[in-house]
Amino acid sequence: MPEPALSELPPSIRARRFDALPYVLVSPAVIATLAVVFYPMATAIVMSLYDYVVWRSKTNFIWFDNYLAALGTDIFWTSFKNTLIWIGVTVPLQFLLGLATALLMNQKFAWRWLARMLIIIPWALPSVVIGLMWRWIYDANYGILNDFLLRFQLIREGVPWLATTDTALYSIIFVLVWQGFPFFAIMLLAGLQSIPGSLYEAAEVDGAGVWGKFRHVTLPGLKSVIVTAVLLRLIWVGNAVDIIYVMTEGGPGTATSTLPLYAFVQSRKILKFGYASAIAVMFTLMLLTLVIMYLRRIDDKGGSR
Amino acid sequence: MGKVSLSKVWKVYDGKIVAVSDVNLEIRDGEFMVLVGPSGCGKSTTLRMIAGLEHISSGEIAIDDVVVNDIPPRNRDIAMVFQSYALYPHMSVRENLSFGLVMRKMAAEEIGRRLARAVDILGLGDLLARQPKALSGGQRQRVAMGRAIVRDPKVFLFDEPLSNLDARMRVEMRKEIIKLHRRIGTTMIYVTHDQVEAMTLGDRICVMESGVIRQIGTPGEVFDNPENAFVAGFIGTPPMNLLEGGLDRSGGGGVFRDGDLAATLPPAMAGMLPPAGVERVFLGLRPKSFVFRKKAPADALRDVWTVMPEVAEMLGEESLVHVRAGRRRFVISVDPHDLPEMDRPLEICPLMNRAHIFDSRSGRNLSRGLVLPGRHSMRRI
Repeated sequence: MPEPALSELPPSIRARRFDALPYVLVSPAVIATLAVVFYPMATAIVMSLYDYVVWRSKTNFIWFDNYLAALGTDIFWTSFKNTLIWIGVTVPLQFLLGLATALLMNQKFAWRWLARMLIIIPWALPSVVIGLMWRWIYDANYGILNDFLLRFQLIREGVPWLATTDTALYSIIFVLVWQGFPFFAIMLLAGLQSIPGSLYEAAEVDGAGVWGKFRHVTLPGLKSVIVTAVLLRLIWVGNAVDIIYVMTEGGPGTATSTLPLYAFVQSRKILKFGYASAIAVMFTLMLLTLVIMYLRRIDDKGGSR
Repeated sequence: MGKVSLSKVWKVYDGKIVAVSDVNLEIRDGEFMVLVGPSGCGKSTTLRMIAGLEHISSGEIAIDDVVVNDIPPRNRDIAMVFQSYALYPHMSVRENLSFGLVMRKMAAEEIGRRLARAVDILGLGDLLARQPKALSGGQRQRVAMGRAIVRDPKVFLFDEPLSNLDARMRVEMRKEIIKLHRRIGTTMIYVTHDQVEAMTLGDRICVMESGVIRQIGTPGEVFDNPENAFVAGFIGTPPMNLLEGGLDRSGGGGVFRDGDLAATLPPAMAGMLPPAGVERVFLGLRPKSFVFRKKAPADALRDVWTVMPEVAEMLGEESLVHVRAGRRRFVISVDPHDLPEMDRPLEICPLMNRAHIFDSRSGRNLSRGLVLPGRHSMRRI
């Protein structure tokens, strides 16, 4: 059958008039996004170029002075280093613990449903509750952690975990690992359940042992879930200030200060909005760099998309 | 070599659900054995026990006289083709094919040789670099078979390998599997719910129902001489009509009676029946075992049934007419050029030489092995 020539088609198909309907339908979402995401972002960037302090009546445009001032302080660089440790230690630990939990929860055992429900608890608790709870656990005088360690004679006197420069950051990291691993566990468990059982059976017939099945069936099957979950956690962990704020407020000294916390303290407590915005913008760039590096690395290894 | 024997094999789940009961089966070296039955009949479970993917509750499975009950799948020297193909999604076709050999630490040279052979047999040459997701269903199926071929196992296991393909591809692959078996000659055990697949592929077929073997035999034997009513009602497209009724033994012969329907058993058939104890029977007649009265041979005119044609299905070579006689419904096959009028009474005669009589309680075929002229439709072909 010969195809009809374009000129033979009815005009309604040939030339579409401008149709406003699609734009009208999309506009609420676009407007809402512009209002709650892009406007505050743009405001923050603009603000970072002013010496804006809430209680001062006059503000001046000062170009990049806020940035230069921040880069000249020790606390900025301490916070920068802490942020890297914070992300670099927390996310891998959460991932490994979550993976182990997911593999365990994927086995058949009695009361598994209960275990699966209980595992979510750390993730479901508000950060403030967790922070306060662990502050008590870590407490130098009354804390249950010191009590345990003393009873088992692992330490001779109580350690002020959150008040010691060397232990404070890692103590909080431990708490965040504890809080965040269920997220990985749940995501990875869902991923595990989506791997068809016949792949394991095929691998078994093909001669793969436990490690072979994990290496060649489980890990490749989880890859896309891992990529997504790690990306999300990278961003969330990087931005997390609530637990640190509740537990140490960045102390002792600057031992547990991270960039987002530093920015938060500068804006909310000292009300130096311009200066805090500059720090926030720099932190955003840092996180963006991390995310881009991460995604590049994934793609180099042959992305699964 | 690849001889498989199952003796007194049971599979019981949770100590109460019996999936397979007392299966005894000898599969010869190089044989193509098909396990067929409706879903839930235990055929897949049986296959999975042979593969080692399912624990054997009791009994013994031996491959080449070695009991494999406690041997893991990877050491049984078997290869399996799954219904879902189970290709590793992140590996190329080449990697999929060689995975089993790499896992066994085979030398690269030997892997290359085996790969080349499988690629040659299945015509996979252009696909080696592709990922499974870039393949069509038929191609995936071929790769799954290739993965089994490279292993060069004692036994090939197929678990409903064609059920995810469209009808046309299925016929195509059926042919390929037959060719493959002829070429490599390895023992194959094949599970399907499709009796056409079973009939076309199997050297022998094993019909199962509710975890029990109902009959083992060549396709011809199973079709011509079903051991019981279940096999008769399962094998054949459409299957045999089974009409329940009483058996009138007065006067020395035998007459099947159900309401207005009466059918006189040929003397040889009546002679095979036990003298007493059988009152209720199934009369088994294949759709092709009926003729219109106007065309009936003289000896068939003894029994004339008046039926009401309800629906006709045109299949090309034949038409299947669904008819009602009293409260019974059954199917007859007619020449499509000679289609009766629907909803008008029609007179037909059963060809009783081809009939089977089953005990309605045990389902056993009481006329099994009877030889009468015109009885074995398969043998005429």
